[in-house]
Amino acid sequence: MKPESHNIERQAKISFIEKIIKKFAPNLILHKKPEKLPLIINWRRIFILPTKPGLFFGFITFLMLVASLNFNNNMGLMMTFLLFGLAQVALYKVFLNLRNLTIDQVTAKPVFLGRKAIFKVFFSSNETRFDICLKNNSDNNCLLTLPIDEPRAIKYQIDTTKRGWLICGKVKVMSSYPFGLFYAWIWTNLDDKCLVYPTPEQNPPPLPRDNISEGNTTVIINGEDFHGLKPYQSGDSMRLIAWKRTAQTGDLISREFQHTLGEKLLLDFAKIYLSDTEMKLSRLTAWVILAYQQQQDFCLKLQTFNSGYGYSTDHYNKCLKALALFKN
Amino acid sequence: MKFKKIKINTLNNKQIFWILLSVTIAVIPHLPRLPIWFGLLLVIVVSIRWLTALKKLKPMHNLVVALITIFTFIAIIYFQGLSLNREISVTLLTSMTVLKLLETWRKRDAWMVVTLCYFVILTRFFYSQDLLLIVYLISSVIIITHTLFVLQHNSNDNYLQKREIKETLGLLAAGIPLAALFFLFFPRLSSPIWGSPNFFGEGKTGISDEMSPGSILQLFVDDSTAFRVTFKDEIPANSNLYWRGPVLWDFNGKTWTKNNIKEITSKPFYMTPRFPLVKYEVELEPTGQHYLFALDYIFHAPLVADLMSDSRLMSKIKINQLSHYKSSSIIKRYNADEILTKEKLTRLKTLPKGFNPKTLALMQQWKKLNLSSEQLIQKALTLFANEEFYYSYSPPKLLGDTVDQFLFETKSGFCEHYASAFTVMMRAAGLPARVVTGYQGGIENEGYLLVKQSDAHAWSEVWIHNKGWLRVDPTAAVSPLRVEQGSQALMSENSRNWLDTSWYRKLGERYDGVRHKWNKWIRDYNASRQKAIFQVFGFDSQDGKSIAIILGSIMLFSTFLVVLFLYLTRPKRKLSHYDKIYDKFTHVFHKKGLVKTSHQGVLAFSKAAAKKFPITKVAINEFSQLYLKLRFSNQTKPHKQLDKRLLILVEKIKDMLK
Repeated sequence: MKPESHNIERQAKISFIEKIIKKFAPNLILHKKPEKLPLIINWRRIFILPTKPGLFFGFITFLMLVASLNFNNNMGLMMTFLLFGLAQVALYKVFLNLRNLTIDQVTAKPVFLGRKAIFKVFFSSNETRFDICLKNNSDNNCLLTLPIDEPRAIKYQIDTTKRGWLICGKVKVMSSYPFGLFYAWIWTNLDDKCLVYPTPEQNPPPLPRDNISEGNTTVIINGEDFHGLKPYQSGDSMRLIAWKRTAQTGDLISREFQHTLGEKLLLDFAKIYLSDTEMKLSRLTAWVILAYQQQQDFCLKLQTFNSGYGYSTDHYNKCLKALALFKN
Repeated sequence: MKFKKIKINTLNNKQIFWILLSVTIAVIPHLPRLPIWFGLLLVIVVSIRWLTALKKLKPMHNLVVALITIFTFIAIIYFQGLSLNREISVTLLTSMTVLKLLETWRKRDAWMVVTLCYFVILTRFFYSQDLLLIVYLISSVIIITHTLFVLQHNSNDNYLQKREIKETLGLLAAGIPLAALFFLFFPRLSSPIWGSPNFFGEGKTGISDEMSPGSILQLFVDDSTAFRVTFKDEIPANSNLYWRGPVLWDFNGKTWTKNNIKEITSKPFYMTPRFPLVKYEVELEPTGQHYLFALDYIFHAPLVADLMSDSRLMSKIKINQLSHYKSSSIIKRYNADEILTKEKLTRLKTLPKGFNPKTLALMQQWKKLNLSSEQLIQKALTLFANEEFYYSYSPPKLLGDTVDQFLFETKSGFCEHYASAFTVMMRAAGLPARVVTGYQGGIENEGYLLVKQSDAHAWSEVWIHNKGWLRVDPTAAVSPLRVEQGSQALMSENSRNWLDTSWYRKLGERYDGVRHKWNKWIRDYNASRQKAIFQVFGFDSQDGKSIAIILGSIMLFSTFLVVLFLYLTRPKRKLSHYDKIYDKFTHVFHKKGLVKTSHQGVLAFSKAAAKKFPITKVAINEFSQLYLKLRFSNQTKPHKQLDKRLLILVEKIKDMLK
């Protein structure tokens, strides 16, 4: 896995001037080191350039200036200068709109390879901000209003090309509030990660029944017969919580039910006879999903990983993570 | 967490509403100048666009749009002629802006249309820079700017959201300092590089170069300003204020028309006047005509005009814009400057054949009395004064032998009836005479003389052998009040319409005073006045360096103002007393590299801080406990001691971390 090369492939669109700056003074734009969150945007990092409508606005006001000067039309000059003033105000307004904005945290739920990874970038501020956008080459998501002390998230989508950890990487935070004449932006390097599971194989063969071993072992899972109480584990269903005991002890207690399993599944990497590792992983992923959906007890065995038997959500997530991070 | 997918490039209905409003408001002031069908085109295009937005219809086919455009251009060329003048370019720009609406589907097009609206408004200023128009145009600038705002800010909730409008107004207002300073100091051109502002413009014809019964009467109900005069010395008596305009030589029985021969007098400038000169400057509202008005009898022609042999001023260019000229006159009884040839003398005695037999007969009788010219004039004036003649601004209509009907039947008329009748009488009696039109009187208003259209007047001139032209105003014989006190005196006696009260007229005059100042200080601010201002600031010459210094410092200064304004008006949370203390507390750690995230509560943050800086643990714990107790206790009484303790703790932590 090389997240760095990964990042370069999907670098957001950058303008000509940015390219020049990037060439001669790369540290100005691209913070090579990933930045720690929460990040307060420092005014020194903010870049401002006119937008295309801004350039057209400039062109029109220039024509207006020439025409009014020629005829010494004072009303025309007054209006032209008012538009100059407006442009100046817009310039500082867009600057102040980004200044001291805080990026709080970035969250991302794991996705399967091929789907888009969705990062939620949380912003907050002690001033009201408007039209904050996150931009990459395919996506441009904006926040209309960021109220005072009320964190809001912007979705940031990235195409997934490899399984494993996907790093959020370089992100452009921009705004062209209030008139769209100028846009201000900053680049930041976020090292928050999104876990990419392998693509589940489409139409996988049925679960490998040959590994099934008959057993009378009693497994403690969410069966029908009450077995006892245990401390709450994350992943336990809400309806399993023993509210009475919880209230008495002050700690979360969940109930355990026993369930006699008829069959146990062993999903073994070594026993799949496919040439390509990724295809093997794909199939295993599909089986893990299938087994989980059918609430079957299963065990995933990779070269250096053995999940043990289980079928809780935790178990399921653990297996998928192992598949995602599998290294040959 | 809700995610709203905002479509960046398509327009929502709110944006379309504002775009349509901008274009409509920018084009409306142009409509009076454009052919009538253009208004219809605007209405149709705007309603089509609005309907497509409301009903979510598909855009019109490109071919249809192209056809409409071609038809419009053909129609414009048909109505305004095919020549590449400024008039037609402004019309083309306006129509293109309107038609562009039919293919405004994306943000990019919308931005273009809205920015063009600014230019459309600017072109309106080339035609007129009147104060009232300015108010309208300023408000349309606000609307267009708000459209830019709406285009950027994609909210679609309330078309007239208060916060958004306030924001636009605030930002525009913040632009005013730069605008005002640039207006004063941005270098001006002393003369146009190309063209002339007079290419544009629209005159409101006041006095025309023809006179028939009723033509001046129309002006009597019009209270708009004809011109303003600033005298160098005192304002002469009202009965001397005859503002000379077109001189009418020929009569066809109904209408008087002007002399078409253009003879420019070559009066030597060094000629010393035998009478004291009255010097003044006139600010003439646009008329769309060539003649200028000046006090009878004109001595010096202004530079921009020619003095004709019959003592009238003709401007070298059409008066399409507010114009200024200086002139001087002599108030005297006879004007002998004009040289009259025999042909001219006969022309001045000519009357149309077969008209007004009764008048001619009466004059034949008078002629037999063998009176001198002056006596004859006096006799005619006595006739007007003694018999039952009335000065009226609602006289009966005259047909056919207008002078006969007026003299022997209706006996009631306005100045043009008297001037016409009197001149005909003089000609019938064998004296050379002609009609002069112009204005009489004026109102003293805030230091200048305001002459309104309702001051329009007509009088006669009779050539007295060996003496020259004698001005005779037959109206004065009928209604001395008109000439001695001006037309205002008549209005006070009989109001012209229900709105015509002296209070309303005073309001109009007050407004004209503001307009005069506006013209003087803002509309006519130019290179030479700018030079004076530069000198006040110690810049003797307007070279590139001083201009650069001035403009640069203006931009710095306005930057300072703008940033200050934006900083003070930023939408910030209002901090309570405890918030401020807590901010101080977090700031101490912020400096040391521990940043509070927005989701961290007081306890969580204290825990994190204590973990990172263990030496301060005790102080932090005390602070957080005390802070929570004070902040969220039910007691409303402030604990001064404990508040102080909080601050002391903050200081203590600060010292510990040093």
